[in-house]
Amino acid sequence: MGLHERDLQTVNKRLPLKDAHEKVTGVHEFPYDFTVPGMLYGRILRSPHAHAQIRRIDVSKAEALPGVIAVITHKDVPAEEWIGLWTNYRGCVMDDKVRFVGDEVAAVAAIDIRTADRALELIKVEYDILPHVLDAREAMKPGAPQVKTSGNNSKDVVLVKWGDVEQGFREADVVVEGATLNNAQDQATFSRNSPIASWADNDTKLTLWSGCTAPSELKDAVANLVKLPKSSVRIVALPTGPSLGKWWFNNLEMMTVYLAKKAHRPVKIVLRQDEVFAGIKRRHIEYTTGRLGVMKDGTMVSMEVNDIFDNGAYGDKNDIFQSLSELWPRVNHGYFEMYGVSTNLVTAGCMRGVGDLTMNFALEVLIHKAAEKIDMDPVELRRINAAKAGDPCRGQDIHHELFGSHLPYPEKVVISSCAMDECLTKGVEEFGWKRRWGGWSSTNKSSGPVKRGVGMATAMHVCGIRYTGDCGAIVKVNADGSANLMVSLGRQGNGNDSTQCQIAAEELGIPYDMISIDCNDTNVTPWGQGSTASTSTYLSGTATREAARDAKRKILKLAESKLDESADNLDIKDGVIFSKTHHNKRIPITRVLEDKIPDFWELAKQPCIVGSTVTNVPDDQIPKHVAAHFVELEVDTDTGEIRLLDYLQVQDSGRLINPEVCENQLNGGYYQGVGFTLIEELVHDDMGRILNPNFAHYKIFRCGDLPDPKIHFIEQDDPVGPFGAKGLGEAPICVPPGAIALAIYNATGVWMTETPFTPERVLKALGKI
Amino acid sequence: MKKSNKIVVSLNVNGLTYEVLAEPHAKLLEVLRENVGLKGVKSGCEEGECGACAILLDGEPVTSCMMLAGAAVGKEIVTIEGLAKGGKLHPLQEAFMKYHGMQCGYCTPGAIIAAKGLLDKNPNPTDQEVRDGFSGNLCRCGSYPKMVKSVLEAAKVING
Ligand code: FES
Ligand code: FES
Repeated sequence: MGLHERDLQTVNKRLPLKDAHEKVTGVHEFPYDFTVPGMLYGRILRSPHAHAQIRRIDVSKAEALPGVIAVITHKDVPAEEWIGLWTNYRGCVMDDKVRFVGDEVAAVAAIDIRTADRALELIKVEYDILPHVLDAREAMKPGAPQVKTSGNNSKDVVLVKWGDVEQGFREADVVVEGATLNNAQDQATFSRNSPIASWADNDTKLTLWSGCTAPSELKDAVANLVKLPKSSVRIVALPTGPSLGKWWFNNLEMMTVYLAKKAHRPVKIVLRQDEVFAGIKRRHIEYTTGRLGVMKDGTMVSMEVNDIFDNGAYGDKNDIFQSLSELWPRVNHGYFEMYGVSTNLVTAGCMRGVGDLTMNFALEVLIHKAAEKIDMDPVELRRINAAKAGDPCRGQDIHHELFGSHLPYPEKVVISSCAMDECLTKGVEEFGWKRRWGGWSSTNKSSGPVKRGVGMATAMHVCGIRYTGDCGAIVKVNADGSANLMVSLGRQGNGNDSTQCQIAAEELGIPYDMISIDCNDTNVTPWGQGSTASTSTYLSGTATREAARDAKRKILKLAESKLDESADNLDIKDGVIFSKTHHNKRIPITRVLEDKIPDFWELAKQPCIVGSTVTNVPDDQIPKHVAAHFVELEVDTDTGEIRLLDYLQVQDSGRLINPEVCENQLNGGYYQGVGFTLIEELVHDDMGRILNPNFAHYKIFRCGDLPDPKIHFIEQDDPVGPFGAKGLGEAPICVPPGAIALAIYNATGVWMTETPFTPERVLKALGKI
Repeated sequence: MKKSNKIVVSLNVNGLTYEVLAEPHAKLLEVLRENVGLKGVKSGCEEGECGACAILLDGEPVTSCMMLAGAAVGKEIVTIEGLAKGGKLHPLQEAFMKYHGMQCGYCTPGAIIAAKGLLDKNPNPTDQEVRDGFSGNLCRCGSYPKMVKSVLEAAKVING
C-alpha cells in the first residue's frame, strides 16, 4: 500500500522528543554527570612524543601518594590487540610504544581528580625517541617509520571499478583533472565522555556506563578482550552530547575497564577539553586526485578517484568509501581506489559523512570543471547523469568482501530509490537558480573588492551497510495497552529514540505517548548497529517495525474470538481493535489483554504480549539518501573572507518519520559542513603536537555566524525502508564544500582545493599573498 | 595530614541559601554541581568558550566555569533547575520542547538560561537580538535555527 493512501497517526508527524522534558529541565544525565557509589576518579598520562619506545616506567611514587588506589601501565593490560567492528581502532589498550602525542601511557585511579592529577606528575617515564611520520603519503613510502605493531603502514587498497577508465578517457570529448586536500576536522565536542567501569562478583561481571553510540559493538569488543561471556558484560550507553562520531567508542573505555579492575572499585575516567581534541579521534586528512571524462552532450563516460587518507595512530580503516560511485552509476567506466595509511598523529576514524564528505568534494569540483569545459549548467550535467531507482549499486561488494564474504552475494544489487532529479528540480525552482546563475562566463566583474557568486553541489550517503550483523527489537505490550520498545541505539541525541517510537506506535496502532523506549542497555536490548552510518531509521527501524508487527499479530489472534473475525480482517488504530469490513466491530486493546473485576484489582489475562524479531534488510535493494545544495556568497578579495548570504538544501530521505527531527539534522549538517569547508582545522606542528586543542583556537560557528538554511524534502516512499523512510543524517554534511567551491569560483575565477578555505588560503589562491 | 584550608561559602541559589565548604579557588561550576548537587549546570569546555555552564548571576548570564564560587557570595544565582515553578515549566522550556530547540541537549540548559537572561530584560526581542543573546552558547549539533524560533515563540507566550 502506498503511504499516501494510508492514514498515518504517528509517522510523519511533528511530535516532541521523548526525552525533551529531561533536556530542558537539566536532569538529562550525561556521563560527566553520572556517578555510582564508591566511585573513584581516573586520569590518563599521555605521551609527549609522536613515536617512542618506553624504556622504563616507574609508578612507585604515584602509587605511594595518599588517596591513590591504582595505577596501570602497559604491564596491566592484555598483550593482544583489540579491534572494533568498524575498524576505528586496532591496537593494544597500551603497549611499550607510544605512537602519537597524546597516546595513553598510564592511568591513575584516586579518591578525587586533584589527587589523580598530582599522581600523574609523579610517574617517571623514560623514552627512546623513534623517528615519526605525520604525512600519509610519506608513510606509504618504503623505509618510512613503522607505525603499527604489524603490517604495512598502508592498508591493502580498496577498489570499486567497472568498465575500463583509460578506454573511457580516450572516448571522452573532454577530460578534466584535479586534486584536493582536506585537512583534519575535529568533532569539536564539549561533552567530555567519562566512562565508568565497575567489576563485580570476583571479576566475573562487568558494567560499563559510557556515552557511546554503538553499545552492542562495544559489548562485543569488551567481552572479547576481557574474556567474559557476553551475558556478563553490560554496557549502558549514556547520552553522548554532541558526538559526530567522536564517542562511537574508543580505547578510552578499555582504559577505564582495566583501571577499575586493578582498583577493585568503580572508576570514572575524566578528560580535559584538550584531551577530547587531541587524544581521542578526529576526521581523516585526505589527499584526493581524480579525472572525469565527459561527452559534449553532457554524458559522463569515465570517472576516476584516487584517495589516500591517514588513519592516524590507531585507526584501521580502508573502506571509508561509502557511496561515491553510486550517485553516478550510469557512467560507463569507473575506478575508485582508496588507501588507509597509519601515521603518528592522533587516531582518525569515523566522523559524520566519512569518505563521502572528502572524496565527494574532489569529485564535485571535477564535475563543475567538466561542466565549464562543455559550457553546460552544472545542474544540468548532474541531472543527465545522476542515479535513479534500479541503477546498479556497485560499492556494495566491498562491504560484502570485508564483512560478509561467507554469505551469498546477490546477482543484481540496485539502488532502491533516488530522487536526485526531483531534488535538483526543486532546488532550481526554490533557489531561483536560473535567475541567479549567469553562466560560466559570469565571473563577478564588479570593480569593488567584494565579489558575489552562486554555487551548487550534490552528494549521496549510505543508510547503514549490509553484512555487519542483523538487528533485533522487542516490543512488549502491557495489559493497559501501553508498550515498551527495546532496540539498541545508544543515546546520541539525534532523535532516533523518538523516531523508533513513532515507527512502533504506528505499526502497533497505539498513541505515541503510550510507548516508551529502552535503547541503551545491552542487558535489555537485543544486538543492534547503534547510531552509526545513518543506520538507525532504516536498519533498526525495520527491526522495530517487524517486532511491533509481531506483537500486533499476537493481539489480533487473541481478538479473533472476541470479535468473531479472523485476525487477517482486523487492525488496530489508536488503541482500538477494529474489523476492516464491519465497522461496528471494535474493542479497545485492553479488552483482550486484561479483565477487570470491579472495585478490585486488575486481573490481566495476558499481562504481557511480546513481539520480537532479529532481522535484516534486503541485500539486493540498497537505499541511499541524497542531497542537492545551493548557495550564494560574497568573497572579500582584499581580506580573503567569505560570507554566506543564502543557503538552500533539498534532500531525499524517503518518507520523513518526524519532520522536526529531520530539519534539525539538516541544520546540523549545514553548520558542521560549512565549518569543515571554511574554518575548522586541527593544526599540528612538526612533532605531531596538536596546536589548537580548545575552542579559543579551534573555532566552530556560533549562532548568527551563518544565515539559517532553507530546507526542503522530496518525500517519496522508499520501497524497502520502514514506512518508506531512509537514512538522513550524513548527506547534509557532505555537500557544502563542493557548493561553496563553485560559488567562490563563480565570484572570483579561482578554484579552492584545500579545506578549510581560510582567508589565508583564499588570498593565496587569488595570488595576493 | 595537611590541614584543610577550605572556606565556608554561602550561596543564594534558586531562592535558597546553601552553606558549603569549598577550596578557596573552587570554581562556581564545581560547587554548584558537586556541593549543591545541581547537575543541570553542564560542565563543557571549562574554558569559558561553550556556555554549557551558564547561570544567571543577578540576572546576567555568566559562565560559571570561569568564576570563583566566592565571587558569587551575596548575589542571586539562578540555574536551569530554578526555572520551573511548582512543577510548571517556564514558557522557554515549553517552547524548546515544542519547537525542537535542541538535539543532543548538552547546550540546552545553558542556552535556555541565556535566553531567560535576554527575555527578562528584553521581553520582545528581534530575531537578531535573540541570535546575539546566544553569542556565548555553542551548539555543536547546529540546532541554532530552532533555538531562535523557540525563544521567539516563548516571547509571544510571555507577552500574552
Ligand atoms: S563549561 Fe563553561 S564555558 Fe564551557
Ligand atoms: S543540541 Fe547538541 S550541542 Fe546543542
